[in-house]
Amino acid sequence: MSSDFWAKMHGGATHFPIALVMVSALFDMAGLFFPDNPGKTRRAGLHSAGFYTIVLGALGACGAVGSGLVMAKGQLLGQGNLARHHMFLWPGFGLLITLAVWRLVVRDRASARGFKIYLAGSMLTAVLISAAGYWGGELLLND
Amino acid sequence: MSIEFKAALLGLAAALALLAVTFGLSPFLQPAAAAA
Repeated sequence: MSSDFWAKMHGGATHFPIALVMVSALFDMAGLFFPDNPGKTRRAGLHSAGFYTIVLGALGACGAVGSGLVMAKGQLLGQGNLARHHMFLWPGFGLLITLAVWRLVVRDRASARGFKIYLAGSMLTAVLISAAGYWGGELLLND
Repeated sequence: MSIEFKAALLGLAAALALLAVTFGLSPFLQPAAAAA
């Protein structure tokens, strides 16, 4: 398949982790700080949205990493903007997979302290993935 | 050992395994290796 095909696949797949990780962190933060309603469903609903979005974001990241690696012809670091893209991408991807697996295993059994550590990790992941997306955009538009 | 700690270990192992597969496959995608 042509490199143009993989560039298009990467361009499409990469939006899933960028958007979903940010949205997951926002839902979880809202679930932590918003007051619950009398039926006790608001916080549970927000945490449920945070759960599904981090899992879908991790799945989307696998597609984005696979297509990106083929598109970059196996370069793990590269030079210039590609190197900047990868310097944020690899730690962000590793952290995203770790957090998604943690969330899948723990579900609603997390302690208050454990969930706050998780939330700090998801916010850091959102920053790393967004920075990787920024440098990926620079790579496509300015190189 | 708490479920949170076990989940963190499993998450780290999964992330490292995926990164190892990605890094391990990358040489096969490079043009010289593909041509060979």
